[in-house]
Amino acid sequence: MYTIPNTLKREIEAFSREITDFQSGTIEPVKFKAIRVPMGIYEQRNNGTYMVRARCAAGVISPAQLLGVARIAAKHGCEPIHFTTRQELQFHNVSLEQTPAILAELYDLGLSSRGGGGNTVRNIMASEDAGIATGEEFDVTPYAVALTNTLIAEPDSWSLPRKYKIAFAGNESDNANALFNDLGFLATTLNGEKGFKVFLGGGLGSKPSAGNLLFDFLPASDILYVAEAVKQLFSEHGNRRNRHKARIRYIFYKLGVEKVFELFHGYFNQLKQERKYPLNLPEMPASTSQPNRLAHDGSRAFTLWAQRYVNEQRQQGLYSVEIPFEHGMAGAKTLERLSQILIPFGPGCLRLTMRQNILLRNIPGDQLQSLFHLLNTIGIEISSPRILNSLVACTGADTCRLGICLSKGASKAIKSRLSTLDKLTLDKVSNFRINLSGCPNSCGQHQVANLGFYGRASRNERLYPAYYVTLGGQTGWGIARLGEMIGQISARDLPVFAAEVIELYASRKEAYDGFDSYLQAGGEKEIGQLLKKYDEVPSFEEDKNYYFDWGAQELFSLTGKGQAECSAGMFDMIDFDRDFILELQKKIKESFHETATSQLLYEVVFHASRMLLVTRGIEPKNREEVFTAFKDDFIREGHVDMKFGPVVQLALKNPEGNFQEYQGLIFELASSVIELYNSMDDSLQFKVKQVKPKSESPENEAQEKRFKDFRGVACPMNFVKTKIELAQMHSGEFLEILLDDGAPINNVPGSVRGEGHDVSEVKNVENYWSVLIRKK
Amino acid sequence: MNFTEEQIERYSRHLILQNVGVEGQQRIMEGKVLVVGAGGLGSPVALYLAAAGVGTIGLIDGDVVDRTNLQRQVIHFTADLNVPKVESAANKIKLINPEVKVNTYKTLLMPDNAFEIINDYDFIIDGTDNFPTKFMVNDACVMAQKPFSHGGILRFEGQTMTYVPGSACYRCVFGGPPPKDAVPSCSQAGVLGSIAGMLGTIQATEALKYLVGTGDLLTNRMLIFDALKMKFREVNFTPNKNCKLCGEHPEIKTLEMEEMPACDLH
Repeated sequence: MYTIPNTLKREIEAFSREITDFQSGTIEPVKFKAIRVPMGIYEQRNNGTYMVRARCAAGVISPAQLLGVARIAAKHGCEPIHFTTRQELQFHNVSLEQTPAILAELYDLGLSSRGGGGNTVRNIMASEDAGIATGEEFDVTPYAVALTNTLIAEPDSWSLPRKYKIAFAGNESDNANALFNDLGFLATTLNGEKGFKVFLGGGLGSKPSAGNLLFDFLPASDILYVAEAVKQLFSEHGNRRNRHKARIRYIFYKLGVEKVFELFHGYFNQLKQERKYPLNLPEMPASTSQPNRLAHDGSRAFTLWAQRYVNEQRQQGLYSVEIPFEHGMAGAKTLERLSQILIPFGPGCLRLTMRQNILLRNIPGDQLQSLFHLLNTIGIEISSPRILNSLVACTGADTCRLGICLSKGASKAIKSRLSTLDKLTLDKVSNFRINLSGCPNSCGQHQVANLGFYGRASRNERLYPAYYVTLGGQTGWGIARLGEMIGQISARDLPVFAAEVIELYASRKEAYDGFDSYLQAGGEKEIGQLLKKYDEVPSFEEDKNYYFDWGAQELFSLTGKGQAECSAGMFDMIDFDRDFILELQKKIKESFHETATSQLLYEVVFHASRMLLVTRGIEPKNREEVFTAFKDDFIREGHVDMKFGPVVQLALKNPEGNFQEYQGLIFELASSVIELYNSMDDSLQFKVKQVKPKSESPENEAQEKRFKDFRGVACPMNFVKTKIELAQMHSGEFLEILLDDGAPINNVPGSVRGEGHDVSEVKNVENYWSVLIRKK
Repeated sequence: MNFTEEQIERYSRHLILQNVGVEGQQRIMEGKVLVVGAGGLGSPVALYLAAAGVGTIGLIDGDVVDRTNLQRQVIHFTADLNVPKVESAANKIKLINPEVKVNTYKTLLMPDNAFEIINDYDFIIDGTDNFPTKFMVNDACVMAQKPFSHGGILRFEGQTMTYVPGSACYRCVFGGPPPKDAVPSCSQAGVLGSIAGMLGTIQATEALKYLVGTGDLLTNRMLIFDALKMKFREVNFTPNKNCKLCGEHPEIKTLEMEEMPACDLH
């Protein structure tokens, strides 16, 4: 229902040409990616397959559009269609060649993928029940659409430091998670005037935060000024260098709330003076349905369904109906038939929800019975308790490049475990939110779930899939809080644990106001104790199942995972090695048996060598590779001292060798590696100075360039001494030497070059020569 | 890497050499090499290793110098007659290079002392003159995972190979000592004195290459020469999975000296 700028058509055509250029090698992959992602096209985990994401402002999509979407998916073979937690829809498993056609067909439907990804203004969200909810202040839908229309027509919306997420909620209870968006609007009224409480700098993901209250009351007509001012503020003060610290909340972390607000008001006042952004609310399709009283056959099946999935609207005689899709996945055929059923209810009868479902609205009470029947005939699963259909999981490691765990598989396993529970129990907790993310990014919104999980890689000699467990996340003005991490659990035990939590809470629920008050009254402790049972993970030999993720055919590994954003999984691996080293050192200090001590010391060398390899993208397959890679990438690169070379070499050549005599050196090696890790910054660079071999002459330490006067030193000793100097230097360092005229200057530079060094400069000074050498 | 002026001069030809250089010389000077047998092969080996500046040289030999040795065992001089070979050799090493630390063992290498002695060394030179000892040196080195150089000479011929952990060992190739009388010894068949120098210097070269960490060692191949025709040839082989020592089903689990076949050719 938003208005696509007329530039998009040309952009799609240009993109089609860019694909050809990319495939013919005229555009570099990196550059092409920078074009592709802001078009809403992501590469999936399997190289060469792509995902196309289309925006649906405020979650609005008409049945006719949905029908078109279903047909595009069927035509191009990119099923299932995926509904996201940001009220968008996605096509998966698309080939690059198909994308221009899909974009063009979406364009004809009035849908755009522009800004579906990358550092852009993302889909603007709104409460799924906006316009129909009993408790709302006013319908926020037109505001979300108006803001979309303005922002997507501006080219600078596509080149921000990072993504810019905006959401609108109909009241202060914030069922749109507006407080956890970069910019959030909560509808409010003041003396009858429509307006918003405005929050800036919220977000889930790394360093999550609720937004800061920017306006207690902003007249509704000013929302474009606010969004534009924030865009300018973001564009000019956001961190463009480090994408992990780029979201708007990081400007707050850096400058403080006061300073950011001051900056904001500077931009805001300027824009207000220019009066460039008057608000034009779009016309939204009105309900064409004739309200009517509920009428049905009184069957138990219908009654249960109505209890679970049907809600009364503010408009009497009209009802909203939730259509569940497992993980937001819908087949093209199902969607096509659903769209056809819905067309009679008018263009405004559909919203995409943040739970990856569809919410129908404006269904007259007397038509629910036939709708129930129709939904059953098209194979939508509506006979099970709602909680089974409101589990949220991101797509996880099976398509996402950043994923660690197969969150959808785990969610399916939870569902089948929960299905074994009594339905009465499940219906008691039908609003309970269980969310899973496959990695610490929060696409599964685990941080606002009652019970949340986010994926990690754990190690128990071998890697196994596991999740951190969070409890009690919620949104809402004044009560918003992030779920608290209470521990971790293996992916294998997760479904059983989740079912136990549900059973426990269902049995306690009546005594409390809600999950939050149960948690505060001892529930957190109770659940913590449940979790403790799963601390132990059997070894690979005892039970291999723990080492396979849900739905995986192969042993769990991090292969194929992107390097950048999934660093948390990487840190887990590093921490494992570090903790293991510390434990070994303790054992060694207590050990009196020589062979055993030697073995333990060998293990220290192994773990110290392996610990940081992952930061260099190295995944060694065996111990030999660990030692070799450590020598190449850490010792030779100068990250750790060369003196550790022999002991690593010994470990490589002879694991059963005598390591005892090197105990001091080995402990020193462990400390060096741990110190290096502690000095590592977010971009995985080490801040510890590169280790230099000890030098006798202190003046050499101070100056960048070394200097030696070899005048009066005959051939070949002058060359020998030059080599000795060079041997103490690092690659890239400079050495200036003075040489006599004659044989020395005729021979030494050539010999130096012969060893691969760079002779940068040869200067004649009076009767001698100055030669500048850059070590290879 | 603190070379004294004297060291810089002494080792300048190594320091200049690519592939050795400062780091390589440093490794040579930190290296420890054991020479088993201070005879025909041990003499040139010890002399060159000393000159090269090998940090520690171990010498093991139970004999004293006798007149028949002087034709080829060039580290011993006429004045050394009846002096223990290890002592005679140690003296020469000190004269060549006072920086070298010499450990002497006036004894035979036997199963009961082998591990204790070889454990202190990075590389072992087999300069012995009989098969049982050659196999025992091999067995001890394989069991202790120590690299070593095998060498043998007879008449006008020589053969040598190098073992490093993982490569084919002497037993992979020959299984065990030949039946008695099948192969005569030097004392029975004679040997051209300079052949000892030819082969010993190859062994010394292997030791230095190993210490420096450069070049291709004589692993999984045997270098054989016939000085009469002055022809060199190589025989390639691979670790033998049926090797009684390092194969898939090893039979030799403890270090033993195989029965010395008393030579009836005398």
